[in-house]
Amino acid sequence: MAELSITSLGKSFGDVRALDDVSIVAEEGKLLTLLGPSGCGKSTTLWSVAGLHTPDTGAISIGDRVVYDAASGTEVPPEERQCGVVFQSYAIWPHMSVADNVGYPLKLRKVAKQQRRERVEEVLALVELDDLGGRYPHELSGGQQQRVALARALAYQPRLLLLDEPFSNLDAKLRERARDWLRDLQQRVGITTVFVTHDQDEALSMSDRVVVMNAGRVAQIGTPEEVYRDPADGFVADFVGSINLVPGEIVGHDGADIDFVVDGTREAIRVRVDGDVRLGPGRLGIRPETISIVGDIDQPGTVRGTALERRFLGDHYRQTIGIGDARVAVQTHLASIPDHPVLRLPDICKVFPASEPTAESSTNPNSLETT
Amino acid sequence: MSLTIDAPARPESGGSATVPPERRRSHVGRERSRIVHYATWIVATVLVVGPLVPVVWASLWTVPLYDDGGSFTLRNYRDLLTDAAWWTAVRNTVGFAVLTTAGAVALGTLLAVLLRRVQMPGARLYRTLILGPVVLPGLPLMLGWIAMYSPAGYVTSWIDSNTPLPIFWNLYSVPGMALVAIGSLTPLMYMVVGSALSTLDSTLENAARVNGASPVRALFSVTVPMLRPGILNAGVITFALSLEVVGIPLLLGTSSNIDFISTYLVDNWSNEFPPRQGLVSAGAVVLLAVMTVLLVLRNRFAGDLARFTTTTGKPTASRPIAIGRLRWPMTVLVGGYFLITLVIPAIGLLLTAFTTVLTPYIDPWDVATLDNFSTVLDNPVFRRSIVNSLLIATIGGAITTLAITTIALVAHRSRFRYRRSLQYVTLYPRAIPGIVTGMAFFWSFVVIDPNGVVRSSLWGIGIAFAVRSLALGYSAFYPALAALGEDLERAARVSGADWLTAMRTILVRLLRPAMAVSYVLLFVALFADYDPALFMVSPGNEVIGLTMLNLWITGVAGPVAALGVVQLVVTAVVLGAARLVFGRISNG
Repeated sequence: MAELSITSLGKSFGDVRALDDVSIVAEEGKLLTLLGPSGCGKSTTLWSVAGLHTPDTGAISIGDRVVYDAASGTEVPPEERQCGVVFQSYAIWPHMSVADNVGYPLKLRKVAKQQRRERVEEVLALVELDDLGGRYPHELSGGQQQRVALARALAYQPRLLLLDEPFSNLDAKLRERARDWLRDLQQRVGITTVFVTHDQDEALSMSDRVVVMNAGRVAQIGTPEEVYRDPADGFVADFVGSINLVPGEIVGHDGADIDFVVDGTREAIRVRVDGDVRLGPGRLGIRPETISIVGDIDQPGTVRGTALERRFLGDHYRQTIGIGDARVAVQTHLASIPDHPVLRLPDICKVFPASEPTAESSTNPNSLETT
Repeated sequence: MSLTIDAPARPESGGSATVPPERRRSHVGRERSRIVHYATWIVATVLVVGPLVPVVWASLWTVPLYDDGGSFTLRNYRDLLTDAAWWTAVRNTVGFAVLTTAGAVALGTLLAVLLRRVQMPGARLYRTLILGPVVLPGLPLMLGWIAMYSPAGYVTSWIDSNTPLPIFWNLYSVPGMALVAIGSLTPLMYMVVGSALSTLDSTLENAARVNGASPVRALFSVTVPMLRPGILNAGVITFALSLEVVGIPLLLGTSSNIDFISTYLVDNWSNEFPPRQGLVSAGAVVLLAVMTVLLVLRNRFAGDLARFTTTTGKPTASRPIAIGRLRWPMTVLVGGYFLITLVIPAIGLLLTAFTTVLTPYIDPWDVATLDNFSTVLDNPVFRRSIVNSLLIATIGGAITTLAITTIALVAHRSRFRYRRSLQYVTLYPRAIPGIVTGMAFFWSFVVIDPNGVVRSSLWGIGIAFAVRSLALGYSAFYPALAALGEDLERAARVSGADWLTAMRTILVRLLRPAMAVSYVLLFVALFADYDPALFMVSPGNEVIGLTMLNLWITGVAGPVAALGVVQLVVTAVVLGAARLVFGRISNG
């Protein structure tokens, strides 16, 4: 059963479409991630679900209850929506002890004192802060504050758990641990969770399903594997993980096999592609780890390039190979390669239209130059 | 680790015992939040804007509003604009305002730059001293000015008889009154320009330095020009304050028949028979219109309320500039300023309060006395004034603080439809001259309370004072509110709190220190205020300031000075206590 369904949500700020026909369904007990660059509308969507933000159009229902419907003018205030929210800033109330923070939602629901104390202890144990109930927020580390925020969100057993970039204030090492810990906790509690992040690693490693958003629209919804392996468009391919988008032209095809001429070269490469094929300009999407460097040019799907640059990244090297006008990143364990290596492309590639937005214009540090 | 936790409760599956009756509970919450929003908006608007309606009405009506009948007329305006005395008053007031603005802004800017940006011995002491006239009531010090510098004053007489120096000043003239006003407004201008100075990026000055400018040159070629918006803002404030000033022309203009707009209105109201109340109301409307235009101008220069959030920012890390040997003459000059404007008048006030007669020809010790203070305690008018002012300050301050908190929360932290207008309503009293406020409430009570029950009680004056102080308290309160992240109350909302509960349990708790600071400021302001009372006072509801003013004019100097000393001491004690308490809070 769908625990959260968002239908055709729209929101404009002046001329800017912050949300454009956003429809998302989150399944019960699953963790759904909204992934995208800043300004893509992911936080606006989350806040609309929590009732902290009013969209212009569309509808939202939580369980069997419609909490927002522009058509009928329904808007349930945030306090009635039963969403536990963890804010990016944590928003722990500094004048209350940890136990008072966590107990606040229960107090509002007139839970008896004894029961309240037991529940607070239970939830604090769940987030591994058993002994810190008497502390005040300023006496806690960033990671502990984040767990207090989580405990508070879970205290009254909300229908939905909403997390707005909860790890962005933690340092890299802590973030990785918090990620595993949170995923583990979510699965144990079994609460339907919506998680907002701009970090693709976070999204891929934690989610049951990922919603990739771009410029107020849903670009793709799928499992992490689907989104990574079969991106719906160049933006998704570029934003989720690293990809080479090699510009060129499809000059002929034979079923799923195409002849692709990279801009700045004359010879066609024959590769098998997934999806519809249309002759003309396009971009070949190839992930760096799917390219191998081979000795033999005569196999199908091979091309000779020029070694341009080498970077050492710890567990692998990233070689930049020039093919015509394109610079192609290749992930390899080889420390040294020939000056003119032969690249073998993966068995199945993806072709994207020649011009469409990529994540480069936004803030993806993993995006590769493919000019 | 084998922790167990219930699956999220589902209403359809029965759930656990902790599931609350969601819908019924917060339906009530939604309604009561809405009621609070509308009630706040209505009360604020009625109290701030409402009283102005009867003034406009009275100015356009043939007979006073307390008489029956009457019809629409423009005659009051015609009378006003054809009255030569009105135009003389306007000329005097504008001349005074121009002199005061030029003097106070120039001195205030100079002091701001010297005390904050230049290395000078004693700068720290001066920075503390200059706050005195801003927070302490102005009237007692003004009496000290008169006691010392008026033609018959102590200092004037002493210079006249003991030195060959000419007496080039006369306090009983427009330039003389401007001198007194400059003395009392310069510290305020120092604050306004100083806060503009502290928001300047000091790296700009450093950039001039590394490009080869000397420190002093950097100061004058970068910092001072960058201050222009701040100086302009200060200028508009001074000009507006000078237009509505009442105390100075009443104290200094009466004897030489120099009328200002304010005294022209007061005279025609209370010293003419029959009182020309229609004409006075028309004058008040004109004055209000001018002040409103000035406020709009000021907001244009200063960028509305947002500026208050930046002025409270961190102090700049910029180092004061070394000026070499020049620092000694500079510190003497600044010291001289404080001696003339602060120390000598304060001594004048004290001498007047503690002697039977103050003149350089008699040793003050020979005429030292405590009689003035026993008069203050024995005389029922003095005693009532003190009690009344204390009541207004303590109770009015508390009510106003609560009102400001409520208004600020609705205006900035709710989704109430008219929340933006609420902010303007609260800041508008800044543009309403005190005497207009008084007249406005007078007419309002005439209309809604014909028997005069409220008007003759302390509540009438108290409400007028409180409305007048809204903008001040709001300006002090708002930065603290703006500094609290909105996530704090959002977290409460999603936890299940309706708006009112979220405000009460989270924001109001966190804002308590700011409320306390607001309360202290309001206490001081309400304790010192007197302008609105001019039109509302009747036996029984006197306040300190007005009593001092009225009795000084009739020639009672000693007891009035003693009353001024009492007012200063009470204010200083309250401020000192607040400082101790808040100091402790911020340390713990």
